[in-house]
Amino acid sequence: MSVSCFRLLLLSCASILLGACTRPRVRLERATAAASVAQAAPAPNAPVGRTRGDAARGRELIAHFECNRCHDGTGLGSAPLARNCFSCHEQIMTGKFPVAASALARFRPHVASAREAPSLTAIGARFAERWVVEYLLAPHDLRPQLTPSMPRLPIEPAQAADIAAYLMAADGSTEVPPSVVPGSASRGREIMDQKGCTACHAFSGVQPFTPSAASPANSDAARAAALAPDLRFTRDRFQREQLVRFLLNPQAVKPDTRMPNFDFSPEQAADIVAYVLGAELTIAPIAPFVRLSLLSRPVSFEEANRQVFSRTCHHCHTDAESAGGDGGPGNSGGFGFAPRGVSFSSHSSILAGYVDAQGERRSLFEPLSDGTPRLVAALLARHDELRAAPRDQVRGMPLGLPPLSAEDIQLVESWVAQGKPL
Amino acid sequence: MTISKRGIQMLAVPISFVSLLISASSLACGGDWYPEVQIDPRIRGVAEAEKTLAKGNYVAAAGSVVRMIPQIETLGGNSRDPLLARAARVLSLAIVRQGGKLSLERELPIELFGHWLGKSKLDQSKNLAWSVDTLRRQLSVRKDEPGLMTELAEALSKVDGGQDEARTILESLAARDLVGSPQGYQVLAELRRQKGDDAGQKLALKRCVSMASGSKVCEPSAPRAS
Repeated sequence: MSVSCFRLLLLSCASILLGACTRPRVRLERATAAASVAQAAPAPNAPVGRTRGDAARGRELIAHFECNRCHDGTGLGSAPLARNCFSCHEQIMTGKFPVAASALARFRPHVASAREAPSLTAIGARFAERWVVEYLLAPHDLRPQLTPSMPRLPIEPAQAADIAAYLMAADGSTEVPPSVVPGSASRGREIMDQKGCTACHAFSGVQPFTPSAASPANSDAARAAALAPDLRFTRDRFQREQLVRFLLNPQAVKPDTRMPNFDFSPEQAADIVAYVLGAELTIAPIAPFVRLSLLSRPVSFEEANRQVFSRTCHHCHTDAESAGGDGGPGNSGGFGFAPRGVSFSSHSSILAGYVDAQGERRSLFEPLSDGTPRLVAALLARHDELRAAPRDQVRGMPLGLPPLSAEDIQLVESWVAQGKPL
Repeated sequence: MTISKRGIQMLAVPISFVSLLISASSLACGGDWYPEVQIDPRIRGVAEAEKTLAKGNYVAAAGSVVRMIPQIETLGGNSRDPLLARAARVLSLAIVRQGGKLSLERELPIELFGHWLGKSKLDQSKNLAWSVDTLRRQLSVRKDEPGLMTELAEALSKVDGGQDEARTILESLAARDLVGSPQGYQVLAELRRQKGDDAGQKLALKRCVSMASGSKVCEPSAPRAS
C-alpha cells in the first residue's frame, strides 16, 4: 500500500474512530477562568522589555497553531484523529489501527520513533515565562532521545507572549513554594549518580555520569526516557523554587509526568537543584555544516524519492486529492501555516511548486540570492536552525525533525542540478 | 418455565441477524470494537493505473481505468469525486500520448470498446476532444495547477486549432520553471519549432532530455501543425 493510500485510509478511518480510541488526556479545566486572572496580574518573570501577553488571545492562538495536534494539556481537547500527530502512530504501534497486519508491519518502522510529545500541563507551575516565549520563537531540540522536536512555527513575538500568558495562567500554581535552603552541588551530583538520573536524562556539557543500562527499545522506560529533557537546559526553563517543588513530588506539580517520585528530602532536592542549575557547562559548538559537492553520477527521481522525498517530505506535503482532502500542513495548511500547495507525491507534483503569499505559483527550484535552489536552501536552513542561526528567506525543513544528512542533501541538490530527471 | 417453539423462533431470528451484523461489520481494536472499514478496491486500482502511466504503459493504464470504471466517459469529466477525477486524468493523458488511439483489444471486453480504440479519425478526434474537455474541467476546479496545465497543453497541441493556446500555457509555465513533465517540454519544443523559434526549440528540448532521463519522449513528433 502506498503512503498516499495509507493517508487516505487514515483519513477515512478518522470519522469512524473519533471518540472511540482517544487516549485519556489531562485537561485544563481551569484554563479559561485562569486566563482572565492572568491578564490582571503581571507575572514576576514576564519577558523583559515588554508587557505581558493576553492570555485569552493566547488560547485562540493555541487553536490557530493547532498545538493540540501534537500536545496534550493545551486545554482544547484532542485534535481529531486524522489531524493528530501521534495518536495514529500509537494505534499503529499497538495494533489498534484497523488495517491488515501486513500493513501495520509496513507502517511501524516509519512511526516507531514518533509516538508522543510532552504534554503542556502545568507549564505555569514549572517554567519561567520568559523561557516559554523564547522557546516558541526559536525552538531547539530539548530531548535528544525524541526524534521529533518542537517545530519552528510562524509565531510573531507578540503572539508568543500571548500563548505564554495563556499557558502560564492555565497552570499557574498558587501554592506557596517550599523555602529552599542553598544545597551542595557536589552532593547533588552524587545523589544523581546514585539514583541513575542520566539513565533517562542527558546532561550535556558536564562531566559524564556513571553509565546506566539502556532500557529495551519501545519499553515504557525507553518511552519515558525519550520525553526526558537534556538537563543542560533546566537552568533556562525552571526557576529554582519551581524545580525544588517538582523534584519533591513531580506528580503533584504535573500529574501526567513520567518522572518518578524518588521521595527526595528537601535537603536532597536542594542539593540536586544546586548541581543542575549551577554545574559548569562546557558546550562544544556544533560543527559547521559541510555541503558536499554535486554528484557526477546520474541521480534519478526514483532514488531521490526513495531516499528523501517519500521518506521525509511526503508526510506533511502529500497530494490532497488522494488523501481525502487534507494534503498535510505543508500542502493544505495547518500549524498556523497558510495552504502552500506543496506536494511530494510525484515527480509532477514536485515540479508544480508552491503557492506564494500573493497566491502565485512559484518553483521550488527557484534560485535564491546566493543561487541555491529554494528546496535545497530549506534543507540547509534546518542545519542553520540547529546552530541557532535561522535564515530569513526560508524555513528549515524537515520541520520539527532532525535535518537531512549531508549525503541526502547532496543527493537532492544533484538531482535538481541534473534537471530533475525522472 | 417452558418456552414455546414459536417463541424460540421469534427470538432466534433477530438474535442471529444481530450477530451476523456484528461479525460482518466490526473489528477488534484492543479492548474496544470498531466498525470494519470497507475499502473501495478502486483506490488501489487507480493508484496502480497512475504508476502504470508514469512508466509509459499508456494502453495498459487506460485499459485498467475503463475496466474499473466503465462509465468513466460520462462520470469522469464532470465528477468532483477525487478518485474518479484521478482516473479520468489517467485516461485523458493516456489518450493524448497515444494520439487518440488506444489498442485496448487485449485489455477490455468488446462491449467496453466504445470509441476508445480510435479506429477511425473521427473516433480519435472524439477521444482527444474528451481528453481536452476532461482536463479543462478539472483545471476549473484545481485552478493554476501546473501539472494539470501541462497536461491540458499536451492535449490541446494534438487537436485542431489548439496549438496557440497550448503554446501560451507552456510558455507561461516555462518562464516560471513549472512545466510538469518532459513531455511538456517536448511539446513546447515542437510548438516553438512550428513558430520558427529554433533557439527556443533547442532550449526546450534540452530541458526535456535532462528531465526525461534517457527515455524516448523527447524525440520530435506529436503536435499537429497549426
